[in-house]
Amino acid sequence: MRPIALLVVAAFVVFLWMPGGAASDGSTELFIEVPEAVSLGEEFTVSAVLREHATGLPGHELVFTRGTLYGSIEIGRQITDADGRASVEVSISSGGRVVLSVSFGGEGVLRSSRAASALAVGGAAPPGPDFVSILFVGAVVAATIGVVWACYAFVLVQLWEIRHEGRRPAEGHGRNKTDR
Amino acid sequence: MSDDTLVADLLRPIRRTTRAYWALILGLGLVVSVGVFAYLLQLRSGLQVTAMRNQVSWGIYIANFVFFIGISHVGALMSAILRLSGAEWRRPITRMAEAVTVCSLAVGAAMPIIDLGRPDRLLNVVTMGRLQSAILWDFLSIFTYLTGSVLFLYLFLIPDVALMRDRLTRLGPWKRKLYRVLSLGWTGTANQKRRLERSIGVMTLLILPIAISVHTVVSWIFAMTLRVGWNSSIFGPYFVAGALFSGVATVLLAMAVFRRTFHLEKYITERHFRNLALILLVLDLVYIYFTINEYLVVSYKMESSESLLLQALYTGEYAGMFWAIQFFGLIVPAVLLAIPRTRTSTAGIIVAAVLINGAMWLKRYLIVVSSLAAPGVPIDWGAYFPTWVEWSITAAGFAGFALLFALFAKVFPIISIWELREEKPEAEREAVPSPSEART
Repeated sequence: MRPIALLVVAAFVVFLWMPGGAASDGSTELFIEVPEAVSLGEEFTVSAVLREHATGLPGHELVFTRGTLYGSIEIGRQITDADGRASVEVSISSGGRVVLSVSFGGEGVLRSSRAASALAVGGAAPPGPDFVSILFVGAVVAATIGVVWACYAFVLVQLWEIRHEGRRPAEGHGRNKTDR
Repeated sequence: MSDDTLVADLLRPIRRTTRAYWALILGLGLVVSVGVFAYLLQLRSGLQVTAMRNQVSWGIYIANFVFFIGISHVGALMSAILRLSGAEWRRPITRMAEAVTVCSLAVGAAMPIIDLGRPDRLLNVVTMGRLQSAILWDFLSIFTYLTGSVLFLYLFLIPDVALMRDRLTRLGPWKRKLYRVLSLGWTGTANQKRRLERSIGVMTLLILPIAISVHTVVSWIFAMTLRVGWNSSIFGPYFVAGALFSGVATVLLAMAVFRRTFHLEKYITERHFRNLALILLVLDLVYIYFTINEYLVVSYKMESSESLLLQALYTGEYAGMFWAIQFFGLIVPAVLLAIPRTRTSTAGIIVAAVLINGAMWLKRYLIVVSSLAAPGVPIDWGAYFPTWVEWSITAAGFAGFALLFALFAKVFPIISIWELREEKPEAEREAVPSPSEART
């Protein structure tokens, strides 16, 4: 009986050591890598690794999202490489703390998993396309409105003169004389 | 018709006040009072008493703003274009159009301030406004247009105010003082006439580009964004066409009301209705053209974010409103105005004008609300239906417009007397004694 017992124990130990032996539960792990801080508009890489018991899972689609005031927005989808790694290029144009997430939806016996990490977005906004100088726009707007108001001023001067004329002593002009 | 009859007819509404007029003023005043109460409630409790929320952050107030600014164009454009083109038949109706402009601008300009929630923040537009912001452009252009429209209306009033100063000597002291101040001592000297003509010439030329630019800028507060439904390059002319369309319809309604209540059948004739009906028909066709262009191009491309909104408009939540606007607001009026029998009947024209104004208000509501309700990010559609506070303030806006118009017609002649006199043959005018001679 003793050799048989030893064989059973040895077989059990070998079974436990067998690669993938414990993966039969299908549980997966996701790890997300993001920089701690970036500048507004700066392009950076978000990476994620999908593993099953420390082994990278290749050929699976990962979905990258970012949190907003209204909910999550998808920022990209990528298939994992031979090491179970996938990455997307992102740039964020609103400042503050931003949460980036990655999720694996599950496939076959593999269960879904998700990971998230926050980063700080700060600094000055990147300059926009500078095709028209704001000073030029300002000058055009000010000149246009200036011309209109100058015309109003001209009309007001005419009204002032009409009033001035009306206050003069009657020089042969009766009231409403021409109102025929 | 003698000169005295003309003056007597057109000054009669100012001399006499009927009970029906007071009843109208009382009714309109009551509606305005309810709106003022609702606004005070909104001031005290904040915008939470409205249905506007994060997603649909503009609602019925901004729809009212676009509608009233739209109809305000008719005074400037109709009056200036008809004057420049020398259309003599315009004379009895231009004052009404100019009054529509000032009254609707006053109501329209108040709407964004009501929408702000805290009116004191209006000052921020001046102190912290950014030149890149369409809101600042809007503020500048509307303020400039309001000033220009008041001047434009006033210039044409001066000779008539002087006539009232001399003729209506039995009126109350405040009215006599008002006429004395506003007449600027007008006696009709050659020098005064020359200066008035010069001012009118300048303002007639100036008011046209200002009016067009104002509604173009109003359209830009939508079109300068990338939002679905608003991201359009033809919004400027589309809005200007819509503004003229609803404006001419409003003038037709005003003509019908004043003609009946002030017994002005001799001055506002079937010919005026027919001519304006033809202009309205042309504007209807232009607006149909713009509408087809706007929706056909977007529908053909069916960009993914636009498709959500288009589905909601064509077959979804907003389909009833969308198709009602096209059918009752554009097609039915076009048919009514195209068929000679209805085009030459005042009733047919009035029905068309009412349908057009109703549809144009709904159109502005649809432009504002449906685009904001459409989700720009992966979330649900926004929900918006105005609360009683918003409806009350809206009703007060319309009543306020009518009230201002009714008060204007009580203080000033609704038809330009001196312009109508100028239309008469020279020989006939010479034969009539001047007002001062007639009194003595």
